[in-house]
Amino acid sequence: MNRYPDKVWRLFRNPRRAGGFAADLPVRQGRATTPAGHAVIEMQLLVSSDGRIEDAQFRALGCPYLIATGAWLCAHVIGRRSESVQELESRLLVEQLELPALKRYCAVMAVEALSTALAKEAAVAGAQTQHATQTGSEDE
Amino acid sequence: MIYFDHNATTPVLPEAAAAMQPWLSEHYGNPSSVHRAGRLARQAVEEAREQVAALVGAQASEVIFTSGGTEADNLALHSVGGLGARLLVGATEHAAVLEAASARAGQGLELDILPVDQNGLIAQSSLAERLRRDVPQLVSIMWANNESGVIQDIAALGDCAQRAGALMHTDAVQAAGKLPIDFAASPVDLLSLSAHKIYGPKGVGALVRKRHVGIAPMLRGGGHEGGLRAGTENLPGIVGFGAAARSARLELEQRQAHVLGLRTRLEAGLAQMPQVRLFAASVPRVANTCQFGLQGFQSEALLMAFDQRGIAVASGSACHAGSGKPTHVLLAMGYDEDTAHSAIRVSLGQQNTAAEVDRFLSELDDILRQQAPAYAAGLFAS
Amino acid sequence: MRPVYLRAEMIYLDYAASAPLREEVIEAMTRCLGVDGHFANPSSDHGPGRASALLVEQARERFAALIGAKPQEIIWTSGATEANNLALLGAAEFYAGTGADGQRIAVAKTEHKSVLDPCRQLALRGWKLDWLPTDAQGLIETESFAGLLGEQTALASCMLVNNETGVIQDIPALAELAAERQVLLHVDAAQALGKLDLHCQRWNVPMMSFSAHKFGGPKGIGALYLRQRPPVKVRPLMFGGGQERGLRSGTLAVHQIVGLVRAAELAVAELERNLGHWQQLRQRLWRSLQDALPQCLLNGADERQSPHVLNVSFAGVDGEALRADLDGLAVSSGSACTSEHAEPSYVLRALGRDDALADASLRFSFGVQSTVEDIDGAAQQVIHSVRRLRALSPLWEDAA
Repeated sequence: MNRYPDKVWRLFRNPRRAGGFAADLPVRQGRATTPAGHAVIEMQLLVSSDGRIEDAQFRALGCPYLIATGAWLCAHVIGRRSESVQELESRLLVEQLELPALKRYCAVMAVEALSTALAKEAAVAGAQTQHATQTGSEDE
Repeated sequence: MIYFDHNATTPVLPEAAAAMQPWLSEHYGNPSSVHRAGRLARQAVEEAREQVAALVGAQASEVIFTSGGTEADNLALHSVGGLGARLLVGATEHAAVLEAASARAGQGLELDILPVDQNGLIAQSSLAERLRRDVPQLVSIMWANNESGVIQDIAALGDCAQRAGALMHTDAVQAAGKLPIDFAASPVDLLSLSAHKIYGPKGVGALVRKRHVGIAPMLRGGGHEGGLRAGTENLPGIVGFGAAARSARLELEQRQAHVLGLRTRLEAGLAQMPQVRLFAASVPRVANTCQFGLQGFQSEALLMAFDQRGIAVASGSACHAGSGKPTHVLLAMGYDEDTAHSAIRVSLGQQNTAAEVDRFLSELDDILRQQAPAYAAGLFAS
Repeated sequence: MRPVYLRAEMIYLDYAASAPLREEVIEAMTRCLGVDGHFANPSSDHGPGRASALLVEQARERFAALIGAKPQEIIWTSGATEANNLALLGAAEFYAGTGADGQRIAVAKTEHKSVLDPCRQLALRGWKLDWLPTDAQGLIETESFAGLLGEQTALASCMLVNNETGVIQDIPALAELAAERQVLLHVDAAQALGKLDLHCQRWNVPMMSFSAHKFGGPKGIGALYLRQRPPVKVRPLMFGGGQERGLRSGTLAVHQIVGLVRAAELAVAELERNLGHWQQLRQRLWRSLQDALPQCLLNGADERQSPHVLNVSFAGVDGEALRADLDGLAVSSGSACTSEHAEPSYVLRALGRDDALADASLRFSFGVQSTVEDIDGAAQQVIHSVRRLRALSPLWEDAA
């Protein structure tokens, strides 16, 4: 009966690592936006000095697929080396989340936000005020 | 009350009525709504679509729900148009096809009426010689006639039409549930159905359409039914149609055996009456239908007499009832006005019994005696 | 009585999309289905057929009385979509043939699709479309209406109660202006019966469309009112057995007609009580949302507003995500007919909402069965979802 693939639905309803890191952490941050600006996704990464992604958070304004994509990508990159995820292709997200053709742009956006974040120097983002609020067991 | 008018309409089967109930009461979502109530309604519509498709050997995606057989026929006739477009329709078609065709003719289409022989059949050769190759054409021939019950050779006629590049439409309103229909395997592009002729509810029907056929919608606004038929789906009606189609498919043989038994009994009785003349008795007919003339009588007076005795029969199509005009079907078959004016149609149904047939025969005998003293005196016996 | 499965799982506030049937309506319909009921074809010339015809004609008289019409002015159709199509295409074809002579039709962009699509069809045949301007509340101003109706204007169409916002057009005033200019006015009253007092004759409306399932009747049945004096003619859309005086062929669905009329009688009889009830629910819901959520915007009118609809836009959330998240709440965004498509409501865009806001809008609509608990539950769900989605958004904190 549900209109969304189970995985997308679970991640949309209960997204881990949503909301962004505390303002005082050195995060690498990247955003991707649709041309009209109606959908936005932001990836935030905490990367250790030896290049390992220690933690990730996302924020998104968009459809359930976009939110699920952000949540999935955070879980996927944690513990990996930044070089290894730089090669990540949006196709993987499309497959993993069973994104329909019309929603593949969500995967493209998420990957774009990720690579923008990886390309940036770590910075303490002053604008951020919210702490990560979502905790709980892994379901990935 | 004896009801012998199942080609006019049928009562809704208890299982179809039961299937409709939840969609009248607890499930009232609009199938176009995206919320759960709407999605549940949508699922019900799609299940019914599969059941209706299965009755005629079609794909669910080929079924367009309409408000009934009339709308389906009218819509079918909107599948052809453009410069020099032609409609070729049988002379004994239902009014929905004939009237819609003449309305289309008023819009500039060329209309050609296909003649029928004494038995109501359209000869393949007669269709072939009227078809052209250079213009868009639609042939519309009903699978089974509503008045006489005569079954056309749709396979041959459809082949003939399609070989000439024409589209083939068949009004199968009276054939569905009475004959096995294999839409996929038939040389038919468009096929009309009506729920209330197969023990489903009134106000719902379908046009079954092979995917390559383009149709200009009649009702616009809202994009329902693949954009071909706008309007909120008649949810309980569609569900009832689906349930009726399912029963009709599963019980087809058993139902036909039942009505054929009754009709054989009826016609054996009628054969004893010298003024009775069976129409199209020598050609294949759907098993529930028997139309006959009563020489020297007028059907209106006969119908009134039957009515007084609690028997509901018709002379021809319900749509012509009360008009005082003889049925165009019999005239097209070459009968004179007097004969056409004397027609009685008995159309049998599942709840009819042998006792009802016997009662009908004895009442008929009685009516004939009362209305024609000459018959009682045996003057017609020669 | 409320359906068990809905009560358990879902709050239904989508009565403008489709409303449940009352017990007495279902009973009246069921009596026309089975072998022991009035199942015969009303066109049949025998006892049972005439009994069915009598039911249909009694229903016609009763319905006509409810809307201020004469029985012979009612044409049964398969719903408001067919009634709208028959009125517009039928009148256009009857009076103006092909439209090749530059006839014009005036219509607002806030009409239902089943009015707009036939108008577009006429435009393809050579008619000129004039868009009636509406104010920010969606109301047609009588002055600009009068100004737009020119010599060539043959037809105009206005919705009495808007299906998305519930605003009520001043039809008596518009009808008078149209009559002065000899423009044939069609009124789509699909959402109106049981929501206000309407009277075809007194308002001097030439054509009016009705839909049963919007006022507690069955889906798949509606009616077109066609004024008799002075007469309004239409060319039929469907031809065949010549039912409905040749204007609408097809076997009459007795159970549907009987259900329509029973529901209409209930809706009209309970009008006053329902209006008060809906007013209370609407205010309560609007207040709850407004108190809890910044930046929610009301789409509707101050004065000319039917209380059975509350339409609100929520800034800073994605429409699809909002609708998906409200899994236990049956409301709509725009009309049900457009819900499946990803496009935001064209009605709200016509009222000046941008795409994102128009998309992030919810239409709550109330029925006889709606309760204060429904309202509170709905408010709770909406507030929770809007807050959650705004918290997820990288843009919301900037805006707040």
